[in-house]
Amino acid sequence: MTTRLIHLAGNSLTVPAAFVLTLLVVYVAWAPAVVTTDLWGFTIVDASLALAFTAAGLAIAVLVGGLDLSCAGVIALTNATVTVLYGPGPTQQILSVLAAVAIGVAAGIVNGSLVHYFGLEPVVVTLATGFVLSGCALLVLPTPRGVTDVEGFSVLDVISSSTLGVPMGLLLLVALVLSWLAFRRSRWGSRLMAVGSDAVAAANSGVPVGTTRILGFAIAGGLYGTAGVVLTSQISGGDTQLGAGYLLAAFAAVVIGGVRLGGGQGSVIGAVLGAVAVTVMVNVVFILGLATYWSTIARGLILVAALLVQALLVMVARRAQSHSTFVLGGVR
Amino acid sequence: MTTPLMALDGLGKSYGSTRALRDVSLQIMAGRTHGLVGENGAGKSTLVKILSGAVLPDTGAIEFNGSAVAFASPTAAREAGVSTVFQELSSIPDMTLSENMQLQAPGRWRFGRRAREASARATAALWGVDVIPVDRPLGEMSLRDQQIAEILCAVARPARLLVLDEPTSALLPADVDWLHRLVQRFIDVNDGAVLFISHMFDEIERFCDTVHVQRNGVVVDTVGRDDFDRPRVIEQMIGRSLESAYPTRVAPPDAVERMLQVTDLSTRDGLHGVSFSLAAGEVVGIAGLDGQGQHQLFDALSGCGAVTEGGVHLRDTALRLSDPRHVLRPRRGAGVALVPAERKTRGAVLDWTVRKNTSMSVLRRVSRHGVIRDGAEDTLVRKLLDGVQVDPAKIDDPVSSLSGGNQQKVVFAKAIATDADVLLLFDATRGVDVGTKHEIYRLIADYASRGRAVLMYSTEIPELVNVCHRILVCYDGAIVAELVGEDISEHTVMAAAVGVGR
Repeated sequence: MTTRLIHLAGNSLTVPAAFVLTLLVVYVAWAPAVVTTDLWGFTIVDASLALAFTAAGLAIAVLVGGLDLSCAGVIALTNATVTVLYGPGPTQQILSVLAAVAIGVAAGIVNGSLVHYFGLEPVVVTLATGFVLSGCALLVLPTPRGVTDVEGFSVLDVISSSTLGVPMGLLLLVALVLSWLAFRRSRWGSRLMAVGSDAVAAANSGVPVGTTRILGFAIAGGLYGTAGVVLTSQISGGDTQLGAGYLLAAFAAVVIGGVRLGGGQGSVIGAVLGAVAVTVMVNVVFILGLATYWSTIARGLILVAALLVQALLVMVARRAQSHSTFVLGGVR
Repeated sequence: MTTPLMALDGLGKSYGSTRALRDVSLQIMAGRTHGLVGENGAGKSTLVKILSGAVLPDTGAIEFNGSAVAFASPTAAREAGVSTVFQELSSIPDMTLSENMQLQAPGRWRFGRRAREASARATAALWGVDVIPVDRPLGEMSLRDQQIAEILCAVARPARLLVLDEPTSALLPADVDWLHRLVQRFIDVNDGAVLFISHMFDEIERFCDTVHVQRNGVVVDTVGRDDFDRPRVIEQMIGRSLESAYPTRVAPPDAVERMLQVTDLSTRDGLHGVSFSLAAGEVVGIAGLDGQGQHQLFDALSGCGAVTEGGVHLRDTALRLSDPRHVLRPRRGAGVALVPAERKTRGAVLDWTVRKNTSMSVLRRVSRHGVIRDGAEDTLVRKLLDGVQVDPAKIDDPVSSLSGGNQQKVVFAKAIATDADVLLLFDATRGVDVGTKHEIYRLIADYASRGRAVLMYSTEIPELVNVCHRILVCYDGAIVAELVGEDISEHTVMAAAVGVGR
């Protein structure tokens, strides 16, 4: 039992999961009505969907060893692009969605290449590309507008729909988590963690560091692009100002999710839980009816509390660790 | 004569204006263990980097397995059949042994944790490791365990040549037997060869059939096991003769002025009831097997330990053991300075220049009104570098560009600069070549003779026996024996360290 608890303490997902649960309990206790309505799916899953994809992307960039500030720019540009390109006919719809993902991947490849081939600092590189992308977004869509109305089948509507009471958003999140689990166990997933943990050691272990790093940034970009599509679907339109809000929220999600900002430790699942936590937190603070300044202060305090608990658990796990060591025998 | 497994012909490599390798030619025969000895900075590590594909040589040719090769990447070297255990640990600290093994092995990818761990266990058992902690990231393990893990990863994949770069510096004396059997097994199973690099002549003599001596980037001699003559090899390594490995011991002081008094020191992590004192002019050694409390003792004495009971007095001042700054400088011009074992992470800021590193802890002495005076800093640093015999031309080079031995000398200079009353040396000569070691012993004696006290821990018992006036032996978090004068010998220290007589 004790060992199990210690395992739990050492697991990086414990805090974000506990955090989400606590917030949900507070939320439901205060506003029991939400459970009974369709609003349930919306407030929790849909409201955190775009942030979850952004945080997942950011987590991958951070895991491979790069703080990525370009997510806001990618979301703004892809949101604008989908809005402009979207139209009747499934082909056009699918192409516009693919274009958004491709833009994100391309931005990620540029980021990764600049970081790897020229040895530039990821923070600076992605800050710069983020600016460029935000500017491009304004070029594409100077003023906010709605998506062209589509008769009949619409890809964007599907994202915000629900089948048999299960919100599509939930399915997307499950797909995201499953993809991560598969990726994490794959050769490339392993390489990704290795590079983020110690790039020199990874190179000595035969890991193609450059390719891995670029791949990491590219996946991150693709996920930001997906977040852009989700955002477009949810607001049925484009607004280049909205992207900016995702940057800090995604960082908060990643940190609450137990991803080490230095790289090499953490998981996308944590980041997704973190995104849900951040979203519910905003809602909880809202329903508590606090004045704006109190809600801002509360948000900060909750964040610090999450980090403190995480640090404490790590200490507990460390102290309880068995000091097992290699025992050598004979070589046959 | 059979063709060699690997033939190096005229390898050369320069980093900027530094010629790390000039002309390295040697042949490695299948079925044999080749030793490589040389001072720090002789180019051994550069040679290892070339063999492992981390860097490409500027000149020369490598023939491996009968064909000309040039390893453009670590992957290329590995696929060709050269497996390397680097001196600087190079497995992924956040991953477990099985994950590291899988990352490095070319074989089928195992997605499940169980299968992966089972396979790691099987490999470990095959190579003589009976019990392995499977679920811990390597970064949380001791250096010794990380080293074993690294060696396992290297032999887990198919290879013809195994390069071991100072594999024993982190291992326990008893582990060397294991390594010896592992090396033999590698040669038998793979019809391979081993290139073994070490500063320990005992190991070289035991492991190697052929020994290559390298100096200044050139292989100056190759001798068979039977022709291995220590004084001659040392002479070849350093280019001059060295009368003895250890300088003559300065007699301990007669008038005993008590410098440091440790009373009943206990810590939360296993040290209990340690008491001893150091006199001015004394060099006192701490001996003990790995993990008997010496770490905790040095941490506590340098203000970084979790002290629960007891205290330490420096002359009449009680040291606040929770405050490293107070320990370093309780009063003006006094204190306890530490030379840590992990110079890379704790001893020096690698990216900084030699100048900044050396003056870092004594900025007060070279500044006026809080502004550093360049002239005073320059004079001080040059004087210190002169004392530890580091080339003053390197004063503005980053510490990371120096060889391991010179890095250690800079860390030493930094500690000496504080002019502390007590100097703590935690395994300060680990991974340091014979010539530099000799220098460091001289510096220790020198420092003590100026009315200071030195407390040193070393994994090399001969070092303690030959350098110290007095030796305290740690066992299970306590000091169990004190050896003075005639009583000091390798035998008595070892007997106490393994707990004989209790």
